[in-house]
Amino acid sequence: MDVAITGLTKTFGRRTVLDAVDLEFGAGMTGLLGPNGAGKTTLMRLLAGVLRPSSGALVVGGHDLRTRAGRAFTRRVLGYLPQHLDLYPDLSAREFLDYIALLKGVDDARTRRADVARLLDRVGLADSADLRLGGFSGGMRRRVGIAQALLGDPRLVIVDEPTAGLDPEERMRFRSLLAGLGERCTVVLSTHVLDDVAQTCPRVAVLAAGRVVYTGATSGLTAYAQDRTYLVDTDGPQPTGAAVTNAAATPEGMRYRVVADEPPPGAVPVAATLEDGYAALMRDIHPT
Amino acid sequence: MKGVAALLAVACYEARMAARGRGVWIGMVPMAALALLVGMGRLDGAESARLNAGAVAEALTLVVPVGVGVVLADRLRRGTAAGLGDLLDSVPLRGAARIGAVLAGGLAVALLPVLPVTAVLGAAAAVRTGDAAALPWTALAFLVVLLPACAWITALAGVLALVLPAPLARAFVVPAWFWAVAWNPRLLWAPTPVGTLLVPSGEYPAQAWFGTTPSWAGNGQVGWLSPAADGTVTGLANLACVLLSTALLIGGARLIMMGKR
Amino acid sequence: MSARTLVPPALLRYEARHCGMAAPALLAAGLAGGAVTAGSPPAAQPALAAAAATGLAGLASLAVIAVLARTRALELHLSLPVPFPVLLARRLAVVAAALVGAALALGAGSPEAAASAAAALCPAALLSGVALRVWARRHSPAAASGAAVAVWLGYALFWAVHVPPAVARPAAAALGVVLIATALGPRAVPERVVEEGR
Ligand SMILES: Nc1ncnc2c1ncn2[C@@H]1O[C@H](COP(=O)(O)OP(=O)(O)OP(=O)(O)O)[C@@H](O)[C@H]1O
Ligand SMILES: [Mg+2]
Repeated sequence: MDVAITGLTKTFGRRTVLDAVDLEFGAGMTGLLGPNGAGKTTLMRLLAGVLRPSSGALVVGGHDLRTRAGRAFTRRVLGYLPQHLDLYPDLSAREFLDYIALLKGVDDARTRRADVARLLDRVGLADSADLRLGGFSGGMRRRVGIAQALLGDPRLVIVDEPTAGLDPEERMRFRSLLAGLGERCTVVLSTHVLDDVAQTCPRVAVLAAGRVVYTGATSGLTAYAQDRTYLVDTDGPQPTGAAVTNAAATPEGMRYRVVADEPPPGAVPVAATLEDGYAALMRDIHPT
Repeated sequence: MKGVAALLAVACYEARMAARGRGVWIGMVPMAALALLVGMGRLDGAESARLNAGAVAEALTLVVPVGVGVVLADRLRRGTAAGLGDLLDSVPLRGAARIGAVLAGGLAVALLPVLPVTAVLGAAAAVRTGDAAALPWTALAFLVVLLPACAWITALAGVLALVLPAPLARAFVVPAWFWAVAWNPRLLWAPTPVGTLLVPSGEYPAQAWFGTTPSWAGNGQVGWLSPAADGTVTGLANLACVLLSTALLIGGARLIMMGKR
Repeated sequence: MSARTLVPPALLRYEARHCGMAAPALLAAGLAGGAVTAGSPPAAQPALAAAAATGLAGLASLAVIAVLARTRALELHLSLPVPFPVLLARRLAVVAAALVGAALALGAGSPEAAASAAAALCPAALLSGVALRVWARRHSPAAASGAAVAVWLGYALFWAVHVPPAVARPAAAALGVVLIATALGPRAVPERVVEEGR
């Protein structure tokens, strides 16, 4: 399910939140990164048809989202996990998924039961399936949300910070769950955990202040910091003129991991990670 | 002194939240329109400006508090929801005074749409009676007749919403108000404050300071609690009773909120 | 998706559950109102029946608001194939069914059962329409119930008093239908609520 976004602008009142965004998502997984308030959620809401664009076009599988028919088509192929999802507290996890499956048009009771049981198992909730959602912990609720997005065999999956609040094991389980989808459908995933993207998304788009500042291969974003990433051991002050991506206390003083154009005194070059690449990109956008 | 400033701040922030949320005052706009209709119906201009002001305020007191109670019912409950209760309980300012300030802030916003209506009614009374004194009389009537009634129902609605689900509390506010101010025990018997000093309808103050003729005051079911409306003494006594029962309701709300923790 | 016009019963069961106690409470109120009216002295009966009918109408609008206030996961619903107004319409149909039952129960004992049901149902349509319309715009239970209660009192104190029932009731019902249609019809834009940050 290909998604094409051209000249997409969204304003709230006089505030422009997305500014002429051009993006394409193809089959497979794409990570959506960006600072708080960059417009990731707004972009995903527009894609899910929850908001209407102020101008520009959104085309999903050849259907224009500006038309009623286009929106109806998208809703039928979509699995969406909003950033904030308040579940019905009086339903059990199983009932909630059953309900959403019904709304997604899975009419056959047996198919529904099997789908729901399979997904509950995949998100590790098989044991709590019949407890009321009102008593679920934050991470458990998130997992119900993930399961819900995958109901009904969606061909476009939009998940907004799916791993927020998940414990490490669940986060790993989630990655393999998404990997199982990857080839068949288009997945757009927003997150602040760069590791999630590094592990699962071959492609990534970075938003900052409503504009696309990077789109392409994830390795390309890492390459941003190639030959610019260093480790600095010092007992003096923090290196200046560099983006510090990590700091750790050592017996001799402090060890800083930095991204900088010129190596600070005593710096040792190291291989860049996605985190370094992201920091380098942000540093290039807002040089401090 | 510091405590007073803190309470004022609580009331101001509550008012600000209620005003920004817009539900409270927008919900009161239709009620203000109804109040205008009711008030205009009571203006006859044949009597003095003072009497007109009292009669109008008494008429408004029949309907406006219903809207206030319904609109504000969930204000206290919201304060206890979603971790906000724990947070508020951790601030130095505690107890019934804070609850009172919260309700006062909400009440101020709920009455915003009623203020212009009162001003219009005052102006209309001034024109009809040809007496500019109608304006200050109307303002005074708003303060001593309508406002205590609204405070009473706000506290009652707040308590109801703490013990019942909010929609049910709203549904109860309406009959509760008419039970408190307009129940006719001779048609269908029930214990009611109607006609006694406990009644929040503003009949006693309206008689005391505006010279209206009360329809129920003095005819309550408990003789010693129902003195004939007779000027300032009964007016003040009724005001004291209404404010005291408001304070008791707020204290009750405090106990319920503590019990819930 | 073929012409699937029937709502699966399993789905209706969920929607009825999402209405919570609103529908049973409305039915209970109708039964209680009918019983009190029937059991009271004949002289008081007409006044009581009228009060019960208007009371039920007001309760109906508050029940509608209670059901609306129970909606969760708005953003998710907006992204699902079933349009959000359709979802609300299904839930409100449950309330409407309970209301009709309650209105019939109200007049069950009296010879003018149909008239007394109409006395409740027509203003109920108006008040529910007001509640729904304000809700669709603001998503605030306070605003919706404030508006509904004001119209309720206005209806009871002015409209029903000064306008003969033959005009007052159909007019109220018609206005109610228009309001409901604009709130749930094809021109409703539920997305606006997300836009305004709720
Ligand atoms: N309904 C709204 N009304 C007004 N402004 C909004 C609305 N929704 C979002 N915004 C603004 O748009 C900007 C982008 O918000 P958005 O939620 O899309 O950011 P985000 O990238 O998802 O951030 P985060 O990482 O914190 O989730 C923010 O500045 C926000 O304040
Ligand atoms: Mg976001």
